[in-house]
Amino acid sequence: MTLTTRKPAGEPPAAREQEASGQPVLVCRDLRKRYGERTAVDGVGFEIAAGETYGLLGPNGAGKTTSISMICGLLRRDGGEVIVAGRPVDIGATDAKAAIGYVPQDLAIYPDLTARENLRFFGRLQRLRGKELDRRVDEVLAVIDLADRAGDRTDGFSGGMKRRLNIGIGLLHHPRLLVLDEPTVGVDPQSRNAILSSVAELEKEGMAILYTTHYMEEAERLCDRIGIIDEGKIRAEGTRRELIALVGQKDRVELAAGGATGPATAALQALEGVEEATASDGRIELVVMEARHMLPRILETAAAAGAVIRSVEVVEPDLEAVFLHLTGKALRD
Amino acid sequence: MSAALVIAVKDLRQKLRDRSVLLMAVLAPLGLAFLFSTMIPNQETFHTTYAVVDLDGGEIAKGLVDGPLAGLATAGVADLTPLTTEADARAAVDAGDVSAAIVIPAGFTEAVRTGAPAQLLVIGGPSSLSAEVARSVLAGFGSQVTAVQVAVGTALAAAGEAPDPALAGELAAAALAAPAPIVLTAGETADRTASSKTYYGASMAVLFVFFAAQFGVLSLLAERRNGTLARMLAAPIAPATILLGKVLVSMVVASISMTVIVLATTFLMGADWGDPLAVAALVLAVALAASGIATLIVGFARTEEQAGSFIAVVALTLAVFGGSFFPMSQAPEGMAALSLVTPHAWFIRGINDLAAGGGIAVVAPSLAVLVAIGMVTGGIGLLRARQVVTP
Repeated sequence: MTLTTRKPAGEPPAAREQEASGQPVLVCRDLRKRYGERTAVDGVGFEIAAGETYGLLGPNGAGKTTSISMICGLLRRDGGEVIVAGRPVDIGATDAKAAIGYVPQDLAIYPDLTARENLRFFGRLQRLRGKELDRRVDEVLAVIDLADRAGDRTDGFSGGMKRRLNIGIGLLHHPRLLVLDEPTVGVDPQSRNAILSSVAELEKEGMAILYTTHYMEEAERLCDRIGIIDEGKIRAEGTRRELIALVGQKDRVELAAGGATGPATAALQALEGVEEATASDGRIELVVMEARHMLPRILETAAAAGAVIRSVEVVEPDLEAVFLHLTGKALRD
Repeated sequence: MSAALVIAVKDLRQKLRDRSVLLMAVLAPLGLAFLFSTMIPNQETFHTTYAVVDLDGGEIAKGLVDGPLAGLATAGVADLTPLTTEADARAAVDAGDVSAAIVIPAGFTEAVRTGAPAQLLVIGGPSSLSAEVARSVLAGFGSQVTAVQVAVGTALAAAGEAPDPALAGELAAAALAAPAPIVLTAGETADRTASSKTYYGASMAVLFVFFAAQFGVLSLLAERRNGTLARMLAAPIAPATILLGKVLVSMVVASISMTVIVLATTFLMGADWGDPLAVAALVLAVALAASGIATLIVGFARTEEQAGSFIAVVALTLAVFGGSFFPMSQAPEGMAALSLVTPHAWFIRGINDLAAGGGIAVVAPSLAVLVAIGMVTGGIGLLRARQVVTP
């Protein structure tokens, strides 16, 4: 499945102006939500530009779904502001909602309707009518690879097919902002890969994408920028590299070596960019900046010093480590 | 409104595919209405058949046949079948061809003339209502004969004439053959009670209309559970539109359920509902009342299972107090007064009012109360249901 959309010819002038001016598609500031004594969301704020994928990374219960429920106008907020395509979002803000494509975490389709009936129903709610509705339904059926099952009730679909339909409904009206709430939870690896590829395609087409996940790998693979959220607060935000730099973590290179490991370690320690080099039990461990760029020089230097390199392992710090550093707990706790 | 219709059409499509809707909204009330109206005979009319055997052929016997017995036939209470022998009459009763037989034995007129004991024979089971009615009619005729005999005897005695049985008999026979000086005629008000077929059709329809009405608003909770409500809310439509769509579905399913029952009981069971326009107005009004009450319950329920249970309890309780299972005319006075808070009582009252004839004006009080119930309960329910849609 590769989901691609074609922008509607009749896009509202306000939206075009807003995009041309370089303003973000989504602006949310200081979102707050309390349930009794418990604070679910506490001052969340970020922006997403057109053609950008923003990941909201955090464990279950961190406040991701509550945040996007407020962003999509599904939930009353206790404080803060949401602007989508230049229009403020609230529960009754129909114009702003027309710019949002919402794909909920759980399957939100009707099992007793066919795939086409599901698409037509939600398409009509998105103000699509007549031939435009027919065309968009056919297009989406094609891109989610369900054209040959369009007339079948969805209660007979596999999990992957339902998941594709669930996403397809969110794309029907060419949203400027696509909100995907943990779209790969409970999905088999093949469908998961397909979904991730599709999201990348949609980003290339200029769609602003808000992607929530508790899978670190997905955030690293897809997202241009990532907000790490925990206990209702954004703990840090930036590109993957910025986040890693934020916590001061370096890459590690582990060499399994024989021969003159002592001289090789000393030579490597003297190499620019290597911050630390230690040898023990036939292994040389290095702490370096940008390990992948330095790797050829490291191998060359070690060989020149008389070491025989048997294997190399590069360990880059990941968002798991960032999350651990920021919150003191593992991402999947 | 357009989005509300889109939601309503989608829901109705789903309901059409759900056989439980057909069962609860149409088949169950229709089946029960048929069952009740078949098991419980129409109590407002009595009709029977009598065999009449006149073995006497005399003047007084003829007076009996042409007088009280012919009167039964004229009033539509009984059909009379003349037979020639007592044996034929017994055979007809035994075969069930007639409900009872009246035999005037030979010498009946002569016995009355001479003042001798005269007998009339009624053939029928001891617990037969038809035989009992016949005995009452004949006893009345016997009392009339005795009264005439006494009157004639008294008149002759007062005139100082010697008792002459022959003369007394002739005078008595002439008196009995003459038209009665006082004739009682039955003055009836218009009948304001629907037939049992109509009553049970109406009472079962109004009982099950609550189960039919629940299908629309109850799906609001189902959509919340399934996540499709959130998806609808993410669309560019007002939250109130979703509520409106659901209430529309309740109204439509309830109205269809009632309409099918009205038509089916009319054409299959012979029910007579009255003026079609007034019945249609009552159907819409009770559908509104049922939808309002169902919305109120859904507004206070946490889950669809809880709401479904509440609706069942409320529907059955209102049905008991509202006269769906027995006419309120047979209920204690207090219960009859209590029934006035139920839509059931007002709907049945409207149908009963239509039995006497007339149109919308006749059922205006019922319409007003039903609409008021629907608006008040539905209004409160919608205010509560807003919290389901927009937490």
